[in-house]
Amino acid sequence: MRCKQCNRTDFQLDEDTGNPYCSGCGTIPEYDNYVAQIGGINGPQGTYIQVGRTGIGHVLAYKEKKVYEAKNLIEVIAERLNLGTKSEEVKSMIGKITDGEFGQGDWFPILIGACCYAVIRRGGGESVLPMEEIADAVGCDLHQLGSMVKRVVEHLELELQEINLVGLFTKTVTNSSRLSGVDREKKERITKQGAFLMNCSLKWSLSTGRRPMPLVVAVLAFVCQVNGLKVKVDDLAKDAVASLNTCKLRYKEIAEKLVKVAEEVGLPWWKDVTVKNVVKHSGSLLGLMEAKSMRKRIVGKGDELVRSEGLCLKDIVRDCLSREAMYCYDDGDGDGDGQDKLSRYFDVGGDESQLSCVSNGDDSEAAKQLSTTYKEFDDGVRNGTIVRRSEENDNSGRSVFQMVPCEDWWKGKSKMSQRLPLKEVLEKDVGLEALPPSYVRGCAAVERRREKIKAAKLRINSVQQHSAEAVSESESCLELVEEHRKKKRKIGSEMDWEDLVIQTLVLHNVNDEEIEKGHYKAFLGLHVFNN
Amino acid sequence: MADQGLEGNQPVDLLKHPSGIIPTLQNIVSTVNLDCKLDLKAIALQARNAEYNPKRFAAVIMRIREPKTTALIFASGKMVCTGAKSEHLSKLAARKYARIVQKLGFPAKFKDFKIQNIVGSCDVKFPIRLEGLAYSHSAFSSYEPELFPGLIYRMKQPKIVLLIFVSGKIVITGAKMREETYTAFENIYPVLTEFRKIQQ
Repeated sequence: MRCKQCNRTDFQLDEDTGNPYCSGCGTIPEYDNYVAQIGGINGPQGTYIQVGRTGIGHVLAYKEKKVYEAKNLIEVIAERLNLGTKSEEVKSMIGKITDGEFGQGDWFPILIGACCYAVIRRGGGESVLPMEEIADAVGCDLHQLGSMVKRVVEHLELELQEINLVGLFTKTVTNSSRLSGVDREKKERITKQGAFLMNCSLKWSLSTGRRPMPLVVAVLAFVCQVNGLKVKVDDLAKDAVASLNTCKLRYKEIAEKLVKVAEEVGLPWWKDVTVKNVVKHSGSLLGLMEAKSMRKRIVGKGDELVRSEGLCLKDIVRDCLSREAMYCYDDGDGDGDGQDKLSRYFDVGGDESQLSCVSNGDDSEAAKQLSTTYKEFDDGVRNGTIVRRSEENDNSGRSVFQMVPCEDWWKGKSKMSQRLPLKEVLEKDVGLEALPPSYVRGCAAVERRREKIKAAKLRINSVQQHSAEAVSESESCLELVEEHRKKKRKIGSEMDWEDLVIQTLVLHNVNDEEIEKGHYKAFLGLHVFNN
Repeated sequence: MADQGLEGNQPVDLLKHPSGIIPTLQNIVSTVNLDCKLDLKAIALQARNAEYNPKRFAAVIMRIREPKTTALIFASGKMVCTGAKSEHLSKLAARKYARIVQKLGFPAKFKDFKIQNIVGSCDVKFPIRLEGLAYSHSAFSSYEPELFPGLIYRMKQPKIVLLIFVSGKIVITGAKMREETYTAFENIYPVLTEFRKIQQ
């Protein structure tokens, strides 16, 4: 080997670095620090390196290193997920699964994530850890994590607890940066109302078979609006990494259900409550729902309910009416206008004593009382006569109400504002028993198919009758033919592919009930294309 | 044609189907051995209804319209037929595919025809509380709404998997005979009624 600078061949070793250099010009050659084994068995030996061994090459440390690094990774992931001391449980769980071998490679972080999920779900406490969060922390696909969770659960024969929807909501509220500036009292109110609505969603099957996060976002957006906070669903969905469309869909579903609640509990103004304005009415609605949920069912007395604590609308009205001294009618005070406005909610007869409520047929007595109260309230508000009751004018001739803002109806004392097992949630009465949206849609689809089957039969009959008439009356009028053509064209324009499929199936004598199921491909294969 | 799934036109036999509901068969998967080596490229070039992309999948994908099915034909001579709505139709379709291969000049036989999987579905017409079912039948059930909207119920006897949805729709899969599908549904029906969500 020669020096590139001076072409000399004598190289010497630098004592400090161990690198060779040219003894003439001092140039360090560009090759690696390779030293030829000159000098036979007694020559320089270099450093002995072997993968999996440390020190002087006697102790095998590969396993220890692997376990050490695996435990470190568990610590890192557990810290990312804020698991705290539960990381030890995760370690022992992974140790049990892998027989103390732990592991390394792409699959290992997924196993750690799956074990973190299993530890949290197994405990069934207040802590919540959604799979999306773990998948994000671990850096894997949700379904990879899901299949690993399934394997872990099957391998260890674990029994996972129910998903803690209320806990998930509380966690989202606590961690949300959008609510950081909100005062503590309001935040607590939002949390309780949200938890209440989460339990209601569980009861109404809005959460069954659906990812929980969009529902949490929708409920949070709703209660924020109810409490006067200007927080958008879009922002909350972005923060929670949930699909915006799904969040909006859930929001709409909740609003629809609350509109139904308004109808079911018999709010006098329920006809004016719509999906768009339900937020404004939700202060009173949530209060009423809470009051209803706090009532207990008497065992052995059928459907009879008794109020154990809280209040109900009927009782409020009854109480108000019993205290006659507190308010009375102003003589001849604008009855006409009041009744006009009131007639939007009630059928007001000529005689005031014959007031009957449209909304609630069962509790007609309560409805009468309610309608009277509402009329007084309506008149009072218009005339400005409703004032806070003072002790001085207890027995004066004016209408005097002790007004309580509807926001104050919410007490936050119901058990529905906490995490409850499914059984208890189902037992609670919140004023509405709703069916799952997918089931309702299925029923609507069956109804639609039934109508289409009827229409198809009518069409077939009309064609058959027409052809029979055509045979018997060979000389048909030209005008009639024109009319029929027009009708045919009209019917034809309204038909779609489903009508044609149903018509074909009806012609092939398939049962109506079978067609109603909507398995068109299967029945076409069986009955039509089966030659 | 009585074995072709024409139950739709006949009254339900309550002794055989106590629930009064007969699951509709949606898909039959069958296999057959044509017992000869096949040149897949030649098949793909000659047959109009075939597609072959060895980079994506190492089999010819062939389709016929009646019965509307799809077949996967492998170079080893093994064939998988999917999409038929009854066992009879599946066998008929497999025979048609074998005949097509014969016509393309291969000495194809029709050996070891077997139904591998039957998928059925039905509607119990009431909503189901999946959470309750998953909790009380946890040994057989897997319900993870974060991953899949339905409850996966792994029945031990017969060894069938059922997908149960909140809307009351059921998918039954894993059967090799249609009777297994029916038995599995009749077994699960009382369980489902137990977790029926109370209707208004």
